Parts: sequence; structure tokens; C-alpha cells
Amino acid sequence: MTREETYRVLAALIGEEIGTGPVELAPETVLADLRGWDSVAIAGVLLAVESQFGIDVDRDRLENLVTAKDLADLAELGSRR
Amino acid sequence: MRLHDANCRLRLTVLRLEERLSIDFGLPGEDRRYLGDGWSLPEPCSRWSVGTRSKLVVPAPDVPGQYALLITAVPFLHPRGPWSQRLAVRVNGTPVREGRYNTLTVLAGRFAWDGAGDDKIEVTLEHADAARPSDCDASGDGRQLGFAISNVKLLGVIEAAPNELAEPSAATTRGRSLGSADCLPADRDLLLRFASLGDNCELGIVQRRLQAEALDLFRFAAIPLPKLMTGLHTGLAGIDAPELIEVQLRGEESAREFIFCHTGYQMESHTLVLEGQQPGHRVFLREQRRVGFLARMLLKDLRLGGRIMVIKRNDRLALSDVMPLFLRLREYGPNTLLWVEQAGDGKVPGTVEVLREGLMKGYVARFAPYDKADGAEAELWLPMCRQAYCAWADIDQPAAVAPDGVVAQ
Repeated sequence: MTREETYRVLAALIGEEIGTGPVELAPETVLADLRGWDSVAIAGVLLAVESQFGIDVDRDRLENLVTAKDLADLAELGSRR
Repeated sequence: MRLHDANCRLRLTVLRLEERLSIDFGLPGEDRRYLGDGWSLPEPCSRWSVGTRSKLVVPAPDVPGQYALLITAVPFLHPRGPWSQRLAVRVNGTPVREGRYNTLTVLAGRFAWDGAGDDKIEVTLEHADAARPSDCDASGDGRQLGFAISNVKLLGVIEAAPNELAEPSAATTRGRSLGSADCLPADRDLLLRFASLGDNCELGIVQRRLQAEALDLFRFAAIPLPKLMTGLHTGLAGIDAPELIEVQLRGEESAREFIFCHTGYQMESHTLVLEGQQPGHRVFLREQRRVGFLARMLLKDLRLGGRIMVIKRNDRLALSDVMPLFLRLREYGPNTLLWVEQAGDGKVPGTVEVLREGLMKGYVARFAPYDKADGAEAELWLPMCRQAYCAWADIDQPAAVAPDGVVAQ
């Protein structure tokens, strides 16, 4: 999966979770700025990311989850396995 | 979620729900071909069950296994009472769920399908308290109304592959190694170290005020202490079992919120989803997945000991309440429990006492009332959290300053 595809998948996952449809995601997008991005949404997105990308999310990986790039990096940990 | 403890390793299984059939009721739904006896004419987006029993006939699953029926139902409440209606659900005559409901509720019944016999399954809804609107008003509506059903889903219940929890490594057997430093972190990062063990959402609100969106199972939840103990004893067994979960609309008419309810643990939690934002069945499915995920996170946290677990009750706890919880947490790993009380009896708000290694007691000036937890004040919690963090991370503690300016000794 290319980086661009990763962003597209993540945009769809986030939109599905917060109920808005696909969101606009650029690497520098601050996740907390997305409408509806709260702990409930985060849990849902991470669960979907785990399922979609085959990763196991640990809390220490969440410490620096600030931008869409951080989320894409997290997701691609699974792709590299 | 189930926990196995073979060979002293924690293994979790998570239940995944897969939709096999979804029936929208009423207009413009396609429910007609599934209806048996006991239904009224369709209304927009729902159909009333009438009489004391109504039936559905749905295609049987293709393969044997575990399944759940997910039902979105609103009871008819007679203005003269009773203020709730009983609902019992049977699948091919076998009871799969029963309860008493007074608001829109999404509920599930679970059953095993062996694949033998008929290619259809019969679902019976028993609503013994069905009532007639005409008995109390001039509408002339003489139907005996049970529940307005808006959606029924047939879900496959899949036990996902075991997910083994890591053994605590040397680097993390003391939680302070997880991102701690020799000095106090920023408030947001500091608050992320704390995890509520349920009472109300006060700590969760404080965290939110400081942009600390902690992912914690009990952050916005209430759970009785004995049930919490049971959950910790069993590794939160059944936390994501659909047949133990309900989602209900609660609150004032203008801003009703879906509330997650776990009938096994008597746990209730905010979903932060208001009426009209999402269909109830979608909220149910999301919450079922979310609690499984957060339970897994909590068990990992407890295994690693990297968080400060927080227990509070507005009505005071005794040491005899707290100590069994502390000991239970220590069975998981090198955990720290912070017991928070309202200051009084000479205790200074913002201070923390270390009762023994891993057990602290902290004081805040006051708790938010249970009916106004969203008014939680971060400035009352933050000094105490700083003190607790310092004690936990074994770094020099800043002097606690009481609201009247007195420095705690």
C-alpha cells in the first residue's frame, strides 16, 4: 500500500468513525482539530486501524499521536511486517 | 472478552460481531416479508408490535455457530403507567433475552445455531405489558401497543484470535519508565498517566479540560466497586458480550444521549453520541467493539504498571474497601492505586499521602456533585495529581499550596 493509499484508507476509517464520511487528511492535519475527534472516536479509529493494517496498538505508541502523519506511521508498522 | 491464565500468561479473546442480515422496519423498510403474527401497519421508520406477542421469521444462518439478534425497540408507555414494559425474546422457543425498558433501547440476545432442521428461525417477542392508548386519551387508538421496532439485525459472533499480552519487561516493570522524566511533565502528559477506575466522569472531564484524551475503559463510566472487583478477578470476562450490553437513550428531551449499559457489571458509560447523530444499532456495535478494545488496553496497563489507577467515590470509601482493590491490582503487576477523597479533618487539598508502596491517598477540595460531574474543576485536581505523579515517579515534589495559600507540611 502506498503512502497515499494509506491516507485514503485512514480518511475513510476516520470519517466512518465520526460519522461524517471521508475526511480531508494531509500529513500535517492535526487529528484533534477534526470535528468529533475525542477519546471515543480515537478508540474506534485505532480499533479499525488494528483490523485494517494488522497492528497491535500499544499505549506507548499513542503518546505522540498528534497528526495524520503519526497515524499513518502507526498504521504502516503493520504493513512492514 | 475472555481471559485465560495458562502458564501464567494472559491471553485474551475478543468477540467480533459480523452483520448477516439487517431489517429496517416501517416505511420505507422491507420488513413485511419477515413478519409473523402480532404487528401493526408500518409507520415511518418503525412498526408497532401489538398484543402480547409478536413474531418474526428470518432466514437461518448458513453455517453453525454463535449468533446474536440485535433489536432496536421503543416501548409504548401508558400515561397512567407502568412506566416501563417487559420484553422477552425467544429464538425457536429458547429464551435469549429479557428485560424491562422505558426508553429507546438497543439490546441483543445470543444463541447457538447448530445448522440442523429448518432453514428459518422464529423470533418471538413477548411484551406482556402492552397497553391501549385509547384507555387514557381520546385518540381512539385501540391497538394494544408493545414496542415500536425500528431495526433487527442478525449478527455472527466470532471469537477473534487470541491476543497475548506481553510479559512486563525489565524496562517497564516500574511504570515510571514509560515516558517519565526527572521533572514534572506538561499537564496534558501528566494527566494521561492517570486512569479512572470508574465512579463518574469527573476525572475524565478534568483530563478533557487539559486536552488529555485518555483511552480508558472507565473514564466516563460508573461501576459498583464489587462489580469492578469481579471484573478484575475474571480479566473483565464478558465485557464485550453482546447479550450483556444495552444502549439506551437517556437525558432531557432536547439533548438525549446514548448511554452504554453493561448488565453483567452494572456498568454505565457515556457514549458522547446524542440522539439523531447516529442510529442506535450503530452506536451499539461501536460500543461493543470499543469496550473490548479498551478492556484489552486496561489489562495491558495493569500488566505493565505504567499508569496511576484512580479510585474515588463521592460517598466516602474506607481503607477496607480500597485495600482489596489495591491487592487485586498488584496481582496483575506493579500497579499504583491513588485513592482520592475530599479534604477535611485537617487534610490539605492538593496533598498526597503514601500509605504504602503503590498505594496513595490524595485530597481535593471537593468533588463535583454526581448530577453535575461535567462541572469538574481541573484546578482542584491538578495540584493533587502533580503530587501523586511525583510520589509515583519518585521525583522531588513541589510544595502543595492550599486555596488559602497555606503550604502543606
